[in-house]
Amino acid sequence: MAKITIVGNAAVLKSDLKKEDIQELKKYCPKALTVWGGEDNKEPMFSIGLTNGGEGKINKYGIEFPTAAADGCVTLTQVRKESPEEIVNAVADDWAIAVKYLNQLESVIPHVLESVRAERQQLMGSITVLQ
Amino acid sequence: MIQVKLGNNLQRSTVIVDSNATIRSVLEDAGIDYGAGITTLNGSTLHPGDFEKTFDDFGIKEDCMLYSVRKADNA
Repeated sequence: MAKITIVGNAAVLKSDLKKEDIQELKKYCPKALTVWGGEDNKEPMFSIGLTNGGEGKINKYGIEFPTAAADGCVTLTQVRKESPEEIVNAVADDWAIAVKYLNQLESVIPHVLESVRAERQQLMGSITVLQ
Repeated sequence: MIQVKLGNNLQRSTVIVDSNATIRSVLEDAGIDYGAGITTLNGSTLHPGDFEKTFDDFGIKEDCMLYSVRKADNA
């Protein structure tokens, strides 16, 4: 489950998802990084991805994670303008939708990764090298 | 991430893309031919150099509309 930490005037969102897992899915199964809804589950509701450095972005349509923590889990840090008394409520208001969808993805992605890796193993096993 | 409502004379769709994605890449991924019509982003016409710009470059924060409309001559 995603965790939010407030350090001074910075809010840090840390996901359980690892950067390399997101990269792997982006390559082999990019649709798994999106929450689908609407009619027939064909409308994209929310998506996650990686960005090269910078601050990253978080809004009701998705999260672009710029960094990973030492354990490889993706993080996003946002410097906030609110006072110490207001910051917790403000972050909860701004990030509620994003965190809800992120938690949904965190519960589904490990199973998708297992399936992607199993398929890849099967493919690797079927490759014959002639020398 | 940016929600982009895009389309042309015949099709409409909604996608969610990276804010660093270029206008061209989003149109091409959606299979929209932008070469024969007028392409607008939030109602403003895009010029040739604009297609290599990203949504971030245009200051798009959350969502936008990207349409490529071909105006055909009537008999």
